[in-house]
Amino acid sequence: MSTLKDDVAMLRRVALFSSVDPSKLKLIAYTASQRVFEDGEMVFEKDSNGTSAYLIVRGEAEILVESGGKQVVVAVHGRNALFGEISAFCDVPRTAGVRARGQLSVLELKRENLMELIHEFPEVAVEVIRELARRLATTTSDLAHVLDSKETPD
Amino acid sequence: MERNLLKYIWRHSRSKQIWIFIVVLAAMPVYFLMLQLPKLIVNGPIQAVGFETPEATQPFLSISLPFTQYFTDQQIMLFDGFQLQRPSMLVVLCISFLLAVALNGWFKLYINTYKGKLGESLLRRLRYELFDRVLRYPIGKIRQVKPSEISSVIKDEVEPLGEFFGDAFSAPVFLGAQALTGMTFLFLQNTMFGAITLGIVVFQAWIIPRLRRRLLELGRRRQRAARRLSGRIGEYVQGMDDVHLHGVTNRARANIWNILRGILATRFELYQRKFFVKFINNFLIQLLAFIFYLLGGYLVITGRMDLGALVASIAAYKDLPAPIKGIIDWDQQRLMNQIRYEQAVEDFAETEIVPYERQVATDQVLPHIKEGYKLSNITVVDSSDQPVIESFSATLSPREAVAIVGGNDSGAEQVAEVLGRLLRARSGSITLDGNDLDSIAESQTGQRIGYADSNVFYAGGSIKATLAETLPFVGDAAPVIKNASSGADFANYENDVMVSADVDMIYDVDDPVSNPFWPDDAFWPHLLSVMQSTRLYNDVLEFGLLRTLDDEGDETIKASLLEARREFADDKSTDELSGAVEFFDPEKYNHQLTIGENLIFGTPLDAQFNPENLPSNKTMLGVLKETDLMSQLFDAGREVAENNVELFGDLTEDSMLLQRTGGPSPEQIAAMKQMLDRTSGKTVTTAPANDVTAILALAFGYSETQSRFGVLNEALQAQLLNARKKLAETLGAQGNDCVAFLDPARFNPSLTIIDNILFGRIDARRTGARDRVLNAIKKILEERNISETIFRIGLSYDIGVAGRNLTTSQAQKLKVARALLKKPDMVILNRALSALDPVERKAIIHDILSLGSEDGKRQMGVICVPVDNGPWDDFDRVILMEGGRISIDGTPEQVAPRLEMSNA
Repeated sequence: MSTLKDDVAMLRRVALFSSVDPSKLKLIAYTASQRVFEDGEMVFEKDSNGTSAYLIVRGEAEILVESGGKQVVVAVHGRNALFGEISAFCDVPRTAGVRARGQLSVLELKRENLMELIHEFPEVAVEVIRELARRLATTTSDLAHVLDSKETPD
Repeated sequence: MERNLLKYIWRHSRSKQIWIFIVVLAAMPVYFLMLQLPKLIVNGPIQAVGFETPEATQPFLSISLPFTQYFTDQQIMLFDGFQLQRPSMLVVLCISFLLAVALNGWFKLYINTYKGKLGESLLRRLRYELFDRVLRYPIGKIRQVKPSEISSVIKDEVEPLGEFFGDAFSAPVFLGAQALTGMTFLFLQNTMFGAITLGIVVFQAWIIPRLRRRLLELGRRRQRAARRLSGRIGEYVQGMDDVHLHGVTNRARANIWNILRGILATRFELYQRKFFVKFINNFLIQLLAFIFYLLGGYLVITGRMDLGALVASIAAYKDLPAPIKGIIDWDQQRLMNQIRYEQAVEDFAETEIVPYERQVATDQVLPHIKEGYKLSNITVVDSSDQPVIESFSATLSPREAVAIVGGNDSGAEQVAEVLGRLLRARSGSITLDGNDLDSIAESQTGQRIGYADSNVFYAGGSIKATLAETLPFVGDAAPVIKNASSGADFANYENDVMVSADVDMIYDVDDPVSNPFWPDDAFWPHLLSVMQSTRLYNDVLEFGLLRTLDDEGDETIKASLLEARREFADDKSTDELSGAVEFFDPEKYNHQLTIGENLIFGTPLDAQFNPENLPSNKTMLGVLKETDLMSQLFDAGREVAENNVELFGDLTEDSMLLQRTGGPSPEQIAAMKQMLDRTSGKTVTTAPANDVTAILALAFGYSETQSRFGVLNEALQAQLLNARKKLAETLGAQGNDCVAFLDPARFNPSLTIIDNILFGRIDARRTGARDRVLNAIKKILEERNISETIFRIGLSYDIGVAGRNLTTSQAQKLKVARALLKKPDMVILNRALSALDPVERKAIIHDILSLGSEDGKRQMGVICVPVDNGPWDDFDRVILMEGGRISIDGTPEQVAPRLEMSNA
């Protein structure tokens, strides 16, 4: 069983929270709940209305996408990975399903708590914006790459 | 129902009223004697009239034949009496006076008691009769009345009548006779005084009814307002949700305030009038006194009247105002009560009620339904006279399963209601086994027809009681009051306990049961199959699992539960459950429990050992000192406080985060801060006692899995385990049983059944674990054959007022279970189970259909107005309705194309 200290140390390693003040991280950790999923148990289904983000404490999680009526594993996340944050910040259904591979321990970060935290400590919001902007930049450049490579043959 | 109060009273208490009358008559001579004797005493022995010489004697108890002096010259004496001298005469007359007073008092006592009883029994009759009529109201009517108004009429409005019933005839007779006696006496004393009194009385009799007219109207208005008040209050209480949701509590206040104000205004005027009438009465009566004293005194002074006669006249007069006032009051009451009665019974009397025969009790099991319903040309209209069913003709046999399909305005629901007699057809004929449905007794349909729709109302009580409540019974029952009877039916019961226990449940014709309130074991398989098919079995089983077994719980059950516990603990090896439950092990620290719970490791039976009282519990503190835990727990408590302050100290007071995490309140955080300051650098021995208690409380309430502050290390856990053992030993040595310890080898009666089997805590981090554990436990119970026992325990679950402890689907399932439990010949399901999800609902309907057929032969007819659109394969026949008419009637195959068309 992990203590708050362990959870804080882990949150620190997540890019989104890396520069948030330690005492705030502790609060985030405290408001998070620990969850354990057995092998093969779904953490959430695609298109479900979830509002939590999850941080993997131990074990692995499979990211599933439906393709031709079959569930296909498109990625496997391991320790310290964060998933489900898109639905947690924006009000959209889950873009993919997540399943436990082996026993999976996660920290569940609820949207209302994250939002409340941002409301209460605007510096957290700055960090979140910075991180999301960074991701957007990465995605945009990735997209540009893809488009470039597509255009080249013509 | 009789509309005239006096006639009603006379009809139902004639003999008693006559008896009272006789007793009152018998009391009259005594009353007269009581008035006469003082005069004899004053005039005779005291004033020495007739005792002019010391040796003179007068007759006592001489009896003469009355009125003989008018026919013959002298009186004919029947008995000459005893000759007594003056002192003896005084003594004898005084003793006679005393006897007369005592006897008169006894008569009053007897008459009042008798009247009280008469009034109450007649009131009981009236209330019963009113309720009898409520039971016989047509369904359409009863849906329009306000429940609280009905109960207000039956309970409150008729209440004052009870006092009047006893006085209805006896009081005017008694008072009239008294007044008449007084008057006669007065006339005998002095004709002039008599005449004057008579004149005043006649004037009163003339003036008062004139003053009273307005009073009666006010009385009527007051009663209507009071009834409206109770109706409105009832409505507000029933619809309280909406009152709050729409924020109209103040409208409710204003509404009730207006009614109350109206009642006050009416009452105030009523009082003014009433006391004005009283004032006039009193004044007129006292006017007589004035005349008596002035005129009588003048006559005595001038010697035209002797003093004895005046004293006697005044004495006679003194007893006159009371009866005359009494008569006037009685008449007032009579009028007020006549109005009260009229108002109370008005609605009851005007409503047409179902005939007596429809509800008369039966003492036999009635025959099964053989042919079923036959409807020809049924037309039903709604409240605005628009037809909802038109020329509906069909036969519905108990040997087929029929689906009457149609949308909301198709009339299908109304057909089911007509069959269940909840709705009356405007025209056409309906027969059941060839008899007009209207003429069939409710006991017949009650025994043989089951009906369930989606409306649910339960009175409350256990599931078992709710199921038993509607099981039909035969046998002795309270009477239905015949419409125009003289009340002979009811008379037998006037002094009886109404319901005899000698009734039989009818669930099986061949095997009547002995227990009238809950059938015996022979009934059990049927109950189980009904509960299984309505999918209530599992719910009831879970209710049972959540109950505790009382001390008298069967030892064999306890033993099997213990075995189930062992089996479940062994089952943990299976993948699904591994690690999901942290078992209670006296040798291990349980992380799902708080430190305090780990220390006592059991259920507190004494409030001293409740979690909040542990920090001040002497035994506990003693053990902690002995095991050197005080300072460690003190430090742990401080650490908890520090963590809390660190986490929440910066948050604003109205922080949602603080509220949502269920963490300490801002005040508690502030208190913790101060406490930490006060105890900084101090130890458990030097810190203030209050702070020590508060800090220990924080430590006791700490659970590592919940707060994760990392306060509990391995060493502390080991020490806590040691303290746990010590505490058990100490309490054991004291012979103290204030804690039911968690012993894996023993059944713990203060834990629920499921906790006794689980014997541990489900890991809060595992979301899906609860269901998996529950299923594993149910499976074990099934295998060990004890789930039935627990199901039985679950039957005593309290469904709450109006069934509020049940979910809507559970309540609807229970309604269907009630309809099936009596083994009906035909069951009508009118959009039943509408709150369930379609998959479960269809499965239940399917099961009910197969429940009603054995070896492919249908035993129980099913008429179903389904919520869902198919499947129809289970039904023998489908009737499709559109716009109140049958559009097609046939086998599912025949109807299928048409059904598809109407769906499209």
